[in-house]
Amino acid sequence: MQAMEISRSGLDVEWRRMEIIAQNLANIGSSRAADGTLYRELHLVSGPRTGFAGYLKSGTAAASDLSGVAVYGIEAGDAPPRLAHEPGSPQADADGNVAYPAIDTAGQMTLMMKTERAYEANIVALNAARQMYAKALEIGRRS
Amino acid sequence: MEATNAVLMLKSLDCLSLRMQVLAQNIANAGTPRYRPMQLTFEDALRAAAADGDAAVAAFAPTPEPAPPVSGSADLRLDLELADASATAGRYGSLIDILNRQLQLQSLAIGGSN
Repeated sequence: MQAMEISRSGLDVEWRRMEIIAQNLANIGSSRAADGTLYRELHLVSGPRTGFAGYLKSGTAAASDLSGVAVYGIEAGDAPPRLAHEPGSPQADADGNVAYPAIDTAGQMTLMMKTERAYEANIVALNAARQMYAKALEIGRRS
Repeated sequence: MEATNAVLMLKSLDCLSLRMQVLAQNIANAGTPRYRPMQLTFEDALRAAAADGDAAVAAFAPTPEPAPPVSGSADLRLDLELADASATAGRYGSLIDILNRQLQLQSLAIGGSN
């Protein structure tokens, strides 16, 4: 896989991570989804893509297989809901408590900043690779 | 001017390009927990191959290996990776400039005028 494709896969994964973070933060006050269940904090699971070429060469996913990064799935967290005492709410249970999703706001904000930095780093790497390609087109050119 | 120079330069361009892929792979995996960064070192081995002649240089094929921990931590240092990427792109560019000048000299030698 070429350097620019690898950086592109990194951009894709970080973008999708950012979408998940936005979804989590947007649903911080969702006491009930449309189907009646409680929203749960989502996590993007990503890791190095194991390429077919690597399997062919060594029979296993080789660590030196340069095939970028991939999203392996989106998983919901299993933290217990946050209970708020709101007796007046139509969604309150017998004790007057309303369940809200347990979203770790500080954790999500930290992850958001890390994601932003990683996205920027991928763009810088992409530009460096693009510069190399542009330079390679100059081989044999007369100045 | 020896013929080794062109073969050696083309091989170093290949190696720098591969190093760029390794760096891109590391940076793309900045969000992967417990990711082990990789590196490509080829300068010393390529220099040794260059002493053995063109065939050894042409057959030279470095493979990426896990990077040793930086200052005690095996985690990815995004800033160092970006600095390496920038340096790699710069060296690639300057090698191509040198190659171009050599080609110009050869064309001058053949045609008499540039």
